[in-house]
Amino acid sequence: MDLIYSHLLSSIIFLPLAGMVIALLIPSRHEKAIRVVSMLVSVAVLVLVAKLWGMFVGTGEFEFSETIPWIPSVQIFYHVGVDGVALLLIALTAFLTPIAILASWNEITKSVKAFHVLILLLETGMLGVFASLDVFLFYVFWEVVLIPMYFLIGIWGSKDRIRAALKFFIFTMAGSVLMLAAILYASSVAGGSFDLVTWYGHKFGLMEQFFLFGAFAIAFAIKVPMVPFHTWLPDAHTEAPTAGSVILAGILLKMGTYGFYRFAMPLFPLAVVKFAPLMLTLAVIGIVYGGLVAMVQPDVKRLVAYSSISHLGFVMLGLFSLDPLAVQGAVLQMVNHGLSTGALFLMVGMLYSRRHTRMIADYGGVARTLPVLTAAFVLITFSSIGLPGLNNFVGEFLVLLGSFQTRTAYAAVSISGVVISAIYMLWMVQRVFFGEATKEENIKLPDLRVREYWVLAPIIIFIFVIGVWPKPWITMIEKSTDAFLTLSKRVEMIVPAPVPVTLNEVKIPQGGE
Amino acid sequence: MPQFAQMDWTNLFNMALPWLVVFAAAVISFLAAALVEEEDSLVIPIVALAGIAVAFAVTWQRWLSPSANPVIGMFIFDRLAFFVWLIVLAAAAIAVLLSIPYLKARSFAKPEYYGLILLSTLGMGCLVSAGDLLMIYLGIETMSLAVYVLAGFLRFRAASNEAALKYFLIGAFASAFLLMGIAFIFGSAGTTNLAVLGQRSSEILSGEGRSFFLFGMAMLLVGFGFKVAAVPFHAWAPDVYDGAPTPITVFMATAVKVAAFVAFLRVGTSALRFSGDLWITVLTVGAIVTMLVGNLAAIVQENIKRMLAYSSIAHAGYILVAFPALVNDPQGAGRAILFYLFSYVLMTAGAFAVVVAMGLGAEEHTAISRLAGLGKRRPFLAAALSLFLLSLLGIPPTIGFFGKYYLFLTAVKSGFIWLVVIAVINSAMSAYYYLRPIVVMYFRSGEEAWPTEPMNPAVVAVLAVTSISVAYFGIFPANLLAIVSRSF
Repeated sequence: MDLIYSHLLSSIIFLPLAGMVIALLIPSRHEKAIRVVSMLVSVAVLVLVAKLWGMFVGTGEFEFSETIPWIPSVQIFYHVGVDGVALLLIALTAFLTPIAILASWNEITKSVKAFHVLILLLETGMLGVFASLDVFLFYVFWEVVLIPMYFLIGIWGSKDRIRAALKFFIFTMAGSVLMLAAILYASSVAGGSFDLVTWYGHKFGLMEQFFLFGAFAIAFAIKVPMVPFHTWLPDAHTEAPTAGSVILAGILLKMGTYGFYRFAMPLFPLAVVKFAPLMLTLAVIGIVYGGLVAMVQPDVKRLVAYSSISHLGFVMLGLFSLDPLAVQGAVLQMVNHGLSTGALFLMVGMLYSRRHTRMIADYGGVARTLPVLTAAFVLITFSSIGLPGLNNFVGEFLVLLGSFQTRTAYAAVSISGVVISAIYMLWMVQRVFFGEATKEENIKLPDLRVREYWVLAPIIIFIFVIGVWPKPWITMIEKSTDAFLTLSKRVEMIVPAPVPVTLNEVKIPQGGE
Repeated sequence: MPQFAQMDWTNLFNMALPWLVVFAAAVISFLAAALVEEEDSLVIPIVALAGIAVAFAVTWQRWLSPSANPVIGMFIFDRLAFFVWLIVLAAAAIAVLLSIPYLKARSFAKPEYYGLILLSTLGMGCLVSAGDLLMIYLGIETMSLAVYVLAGFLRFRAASNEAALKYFLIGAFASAFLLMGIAFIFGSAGTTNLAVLGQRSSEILSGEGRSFFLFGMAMLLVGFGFKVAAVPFHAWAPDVYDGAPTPITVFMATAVKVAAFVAFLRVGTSALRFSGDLWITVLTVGAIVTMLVGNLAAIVQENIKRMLAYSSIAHAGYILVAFPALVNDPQGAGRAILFYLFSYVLMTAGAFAVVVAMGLGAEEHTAISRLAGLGKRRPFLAAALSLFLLSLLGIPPTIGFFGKYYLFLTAVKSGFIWLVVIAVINSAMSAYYYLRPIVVMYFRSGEEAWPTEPMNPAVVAVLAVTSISVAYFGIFPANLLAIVSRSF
């Protein structure tokens, strides 16, 4: 036990991997045992994360830091640690994974063993991405995530799964190899080190920053996804099994925004000044365009997928506004989107398991037969469109409040996104759940089962908790986002943007990493 | 040549012991062929494997305590030679192991087969320890002559005959280029010794022999280009790889390529790298074209052997990415190339071993569509193939990723950033064809019945060793890296 506590973060990262090995050793005919083991392991991870949360101080520095020489001859270290934001995303990962496993309890019936092995491998990858402080290590985890998700979509997905899986893989791979080239170059100019903290302190040249930021930004923008790199997302989300969609929307997309938060922006502040208008424009386009396209989707799952593009646009808007409130809102919005969109995908899965269709037109009037499911769906819908008192309101409000101060025009256009989201979500709810039940199949459907209560209840609780009492969450990330802003605004403090500056004029502030 | 007069024969014998062991094993297996009655007797492959094992052990011991004065005549018995020779021996052992079930399934186990593998291996030994252009030529010829025969060994198959003939004609052509290059270099420099060439090349290049010397170097490049199957000298590779017996394809794609690359590396670090910008330009263009052609052509292949052939062309391109870096940073680039060669051998041999396992029925099954449903029926085989393909693609944490990373890092350090950008884009492109077998194995359910008999132990051994190494050295490359660093 002492060993676990003294290496708490590493234990959290590799516990799912250990669980994967156990699951591998169980003969595949014992399906129930495999489900139980992976459930227990993922819950154990959640418990350890809760412990980590309890011990977290929130200084803005990296806590629970561990450094072990991995390939010392080329200066590669196993270096992990968390700040408030990373911890929040780790908690989100640990929270959603058991829910995804529980949601697949009846849905996944073929190759049960392989499914759980991949989910656990995926969890290790995701946790590693959020905890890595060595850029090489980060890249390794980043790529590790790709493979299980590819298989999850490709094996357990619906009709068009093969094309969707391939599209997902090629898009992500194309971005990440560019990032690899950038990492190689950055490390060679930063004296061969891969340590993120060292990189924070290194002064990259102006042109270097432009190119490096470009390469990192493309990799992350594909993952977020930002328009115009979003085309893989609707396919992948729609074809993936419920658990895959939940993890994809809930966590994998956050890897992109987290990448901006942790790497692209604080490392290359000069490029941030230069590219901010472009990134903000793309974010706003994403907000409006994602919403408009979501409106006309005939397929519920596709609608939710496009809504993600819109929601993630708010996160990007918040990050690139470089305003303290907006950044806090953006980080909170990462978690909020994980909860509400995750829940939406879960419920679409529940509807699908009852009716075996995702087409809006096939439903109508199911509120009468499924009162509880409808109530839950409406609640999550309210959360998703940002009703005050629920989680999304806090995040979106902070983002808009903050960005109005620094980027008024962009924020003004983004407001329309809030309205659009209300339209497409409520319109969809109306067509699916209310009205007359014209189709005979919709009259006799079983309502929520006990297992499904357990799947939804934790998410709904947190939707209320964050919505009603957001203060502790903000306090936790406050110092970290401040550190992020100090690093990312290293230019603006010296010279009024966007006058081109040479690096000699830029001072590295002492307080930051 | 003054060295010959003072040559110490005991020393030569001592240093070349691993080479001589392989030679002895070859001779024994040829002689035993006359005595062994039944064709598929295990005696000869066991003799071959034993010879390889002894040679391996002796070489490893030599690597641990290298001689202070490694140059003997035309040979250089340094750690580089020993390390690469270890790789070559391992590849030869894999080829022998895979051949046992392969030939048995075709009832065509001829005893001379294994002796030829050993002779070819011996040629590679000369190649990797060559300190002189003439020894390089002799090594390449010894190596290739045996492989010509082996490529056409299944003489009842038209494709095999075609492969042998094609390989022979192209190989002879390449040897002629090589020899002409050596002649021109000798004409302009007055020596074929690599070390002397390295010292004198700048002097020659500024003198009146410049154009002859450069022409000779260009011919040499063409010769090596043929041997490592670099574009535009690659056209033989897919047909030959496809037509040859699969274990021989493994042998050609791994051992032959490694040996040729290391000889190229020796020439590169000693003589070529002083040719300056010209050498950089030629190799940069060569690397880009080789990667592009290999990857683009691999995308459209329906036959897994051909796909792997084009993939090995693409990998030759990746290795060439580090060659221009030899000018500024010979040590770093050399190490990266060595590491990559090692990882390339592991993953390629592993992938081909799966192809051998597929073809153990009555006929050769090399269509990618035949893999359908493999994930369900042969989960271990499918998992192993996926691992090798992902490693070839360069997904962490496999050895293929670290190898590629290390290769590209040295290129970036020497300032070839755009070359690396092109290389990584190629790498992303290769995802398309490396993923196809995985799609077929796991995402499609196959109708065709697969042979359900248990896997052959020899194939299992090869798969186990290669897959464990691919995963282990991918996650913990530090030890291997230390060995490589001490070898170059």
